[in-house]
This record gives sequence, C-alpha cells and structure tokens, in this order.
Amino acid sequence: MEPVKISYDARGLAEPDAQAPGTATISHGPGGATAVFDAAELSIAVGILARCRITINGSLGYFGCGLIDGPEIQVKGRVGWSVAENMMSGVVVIDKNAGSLTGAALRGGDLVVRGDVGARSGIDQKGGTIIVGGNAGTMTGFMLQRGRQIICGNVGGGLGDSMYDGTIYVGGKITSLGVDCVEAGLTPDDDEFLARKLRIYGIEPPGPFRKFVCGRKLWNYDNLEPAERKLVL
Amino acid sequence: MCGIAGIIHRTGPGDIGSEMTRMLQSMKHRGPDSSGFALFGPPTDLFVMRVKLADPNEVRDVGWAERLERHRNEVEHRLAKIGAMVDVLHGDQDYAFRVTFRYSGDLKPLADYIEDVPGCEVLSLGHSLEIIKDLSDAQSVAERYHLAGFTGTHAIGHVRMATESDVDISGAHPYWAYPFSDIAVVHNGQLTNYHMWRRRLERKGHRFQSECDSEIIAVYLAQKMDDGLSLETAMKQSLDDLDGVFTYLVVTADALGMAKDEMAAKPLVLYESPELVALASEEIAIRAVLGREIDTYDPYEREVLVWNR
Repeated sequence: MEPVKISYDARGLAEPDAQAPGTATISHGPGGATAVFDAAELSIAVGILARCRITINGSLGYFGCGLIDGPEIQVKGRVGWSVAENMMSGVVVIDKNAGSLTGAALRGGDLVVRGDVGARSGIDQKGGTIIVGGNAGTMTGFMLQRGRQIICGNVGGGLGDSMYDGTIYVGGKITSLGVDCVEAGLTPDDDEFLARKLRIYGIEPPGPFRKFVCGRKLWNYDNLEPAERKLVL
Repeated sequence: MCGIAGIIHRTGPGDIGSEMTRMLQSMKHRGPDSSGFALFGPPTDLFVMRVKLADPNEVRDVGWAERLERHRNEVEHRLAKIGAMVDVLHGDQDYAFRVTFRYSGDLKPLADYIEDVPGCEVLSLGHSLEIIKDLSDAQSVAERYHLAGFTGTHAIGHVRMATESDVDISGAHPYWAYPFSDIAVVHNGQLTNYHMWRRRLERKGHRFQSECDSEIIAVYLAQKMDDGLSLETAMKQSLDDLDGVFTYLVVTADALGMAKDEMAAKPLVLYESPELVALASEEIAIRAVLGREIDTYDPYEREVLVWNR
C-alpha cells in the first residue's frame, strides 16, 4: 500500500477566532502518514477517497473521518460525535471513547471503537461493521438498515429501535429492546464472524453474545402497503 | 444548536473569567447570537446584583442616555428605600451595571421593586454569582465586561443560536433562578412541557424574565431546593418532570451539576481530575483550557452528576 500525500492545516478549522492551540503536524513514512492534532478540532480526515494509512496522534472533534472511501485510519485518542459518518470502505480504529452517532449512515468498512460510545451508534447504518469494545448508550442501532454491530459491553435502552434489517450482537447487559427489535438464535456463521472480527482487532470476547434482528412487524413491512399505494397512484 | 460549558476548580480559585471565555469562544460556531457567563467569585457578606436597563440593539433615540441615567439613579434610590446599603455601583455599559450592597431582607420584594423600574431586569443576585450576558461572541462580551481578570471557583457559560425567541439579552443564557440567591442554569435543547411548568411556577408566585423555555429549569430547581430537596435529588426529579430533549448545567454557591434527558439527544463531553472538572458541548472547548491530550467521555442518558468546589 503506497502512502499518499496529504496536507492539513487544522489551525482554526473549527473557529477562525479560536484561541485553542490547534496545530497539525504531518509526517510521511513507509507506514503511511502520521498526523498530530492536539485540540480536538472538527471535521478532520474527511472525504479521503484513496487507499492509504493515516495515524492520528491525538483526539478529534465532531465529524472526524467522515465520507471516506478506502483509507485505514487509527486515532490514538478520543473522537467526538458522528465519527466515520457515511464511511464507504476502509478501516477506522479509535483507541479510546467515541461520542454519539458513531458510524451514522455507515455504508461499508470496519469502524472499531476500543472504548465506550455514546447514544444512537450506527443510526441509519446501511452496511459495514461497527465494533465497540466497551459500552454503548441509548438507541444503539436506531433505524439500522443493513450491516452489523458488535457491542462487547452493556447497551442502553431502546436497542435496535425501528431497525429495518441488519444484526446487532451484544456481549453485556441490555437495558431494554426498542420497537420491533427481537432476539434471534446465534448460528455457527455468527460465531465464526464474531470470533474473526474480534481476533482481527485484538479485542477480547466478553463471553457469550446475544443476537438481535428486526421483528418485521412495523407498518413498513405491511403487505397491504403496495396495494394501497397502487390505489392512490 | 447552542453550546454550553462548565468548569469547577476543586482545590481553590482559578481564572474562571478567561477560562470560560476561551471555552465559549471555541464553540462560537454553535451559536453566534449571544454569549453569557455565570461566574462565582469569592463569596462575601455583600450581595452582588447584575442589572440591565435596556438591550444594546434598541433604537438609541435622543433621550436614550438621559433615560438610562435616570433609571439607574432610580434603582439606587429604590435600593436605599427598601433598606439596602449600597457599597459600589459600577456601570460596565450604559445599559448594564453591577452593584454591591448590604441587605438583610427577602430577595423577592427587592428584585420585584427593582424590576418595576421601566426596562430594568435583574440578571443575577447573590453573594457570589454574577451573570454577564450580551449580544455577540464570547470574546467580545468578555472584553466589554472586563472578565479577563475574574477569579473564582466555578462557572457555566452559553453561546446561543436563537431558535425560539428573540436575539436579545433576555433570551440569552445563563438564567438566574429568580428570586433565589446564587443559582443559575444553562441549557441546550427544547422543553415541550414548558407552558405547563411556567403556569405551575407562576401560580407559586414566580415571574419569568423571558419567553425562553430554559428559564423554567433554573426556577424549577431552585423551588425544589427551597422545598428541602438536595440539588442532586432535584435534578433527578427534573428528568421525569421536564419533557423534551435537554442537557443542562446548573451552578449553586458551592456546586456544579449536569443532567441529560433519557434520549441523550444533546451533547456533553466531560473531563474530570482531582483538581478540575470541565464539561462542554464539544471537547474542543475543554482543550481550549487544557492544552494537552486528555481522557474524556460522554455522560449517558438520564445521567445526573454533581461536583462540589
């Protein structure tokens, strides 16, 4: 994999008048690019549409690593809300905690958070895999459409609320299930998938996982709906 | 959107004026309409009152300056009449001033009497709480009110993007919990049962300075504490009583607290150490004070936390 040339000047990205000591230092080497951010700036490493490796020494603010297609990014710190939003492919690994809306509308690739995540992780997720080493907040997998989530710790209330499809695996305690989220039995394929993903990212399995899918009882699965629509049209 | 921030020094006073300015200024993108500070300086026997006489964006007609001067004198006259002994009266702006005084009576009649002066609004009243709020960004407000040298133990602040009420000082946060001494709130979110709680609290004799739903939280909490509840218990009750999406911060004379609604719909990032607790809508605000790599986390839904100075 060839390192690509990237250039950042993060100073004042979030706020031109800010006195926050925002700096970015980029260095390139055989392992790819290493960037240092020291003020949790917003919208860093967004829209990278190439295969490359980027290591970020520090923490990111909102919208980090969004709209990317291909890169492997490691953040050796924490990230704010909406990390890897609309990510299409590649790998993003967060070594510490992440805020809410982690992997919102994720389309592909692996998004790994070794710490805890906030509320509504994978809201409207359309593909890919979100792996959380710690706990997750309320409404995890809200309106999940496709893809998988692996939560090794506990999850808050309303798990998988209004999910259309996809699968959520939980290793810890569950406060409550959301509307139309039901428990399903783990298959050998599930076991193999979980073991492989956790092994790749060096995350210790917490114990037996439980699997949750869509119950398909909401109005959008109603067989009458297309007929009614025909009448209207 | 709005941005909120709080800081409390656990081992002694700090430069809370400049710290809160940096925190709020780093979140200017969350709300450019107005900025506000609730700062707790060293407590004294004196009361300190912050008052506004007009809004800075009012039309300055021919009689503006003379009228404000007359109203300021009337406030001073009324303080004396109700039994308060004025120590120092200092005008930061022609439309806003700070006054310290000795007083041993009830605060409500005093505040009501002062606010009976045309255009007059008591922004804060207490032994150490000072609320400074005005239009524009935090840096501008801090320079206008000379907050750089303000030292104290804890503070909260707010940058506002006006969505539900006017861009004026009355709509700016923080809100003092009229008429209770040394309690203030900043809030990010919307309360959907605002009118119900406003009617309930008005029936108890409270009045509200604004049409902003956030003001309810301050008065609600202060009333609960006046009824005998601890700050933490009052905040936990608020999670059931207040409907909507909210994250709010509250300060009293010796504590800073945070509460998140059951949907955790509004952000808050928290940093905690033995010396300092700092929390804000975005981590960039905390980094503006602590310019180094730190460990932070997002409090979860229905979480209530209180720290004492």
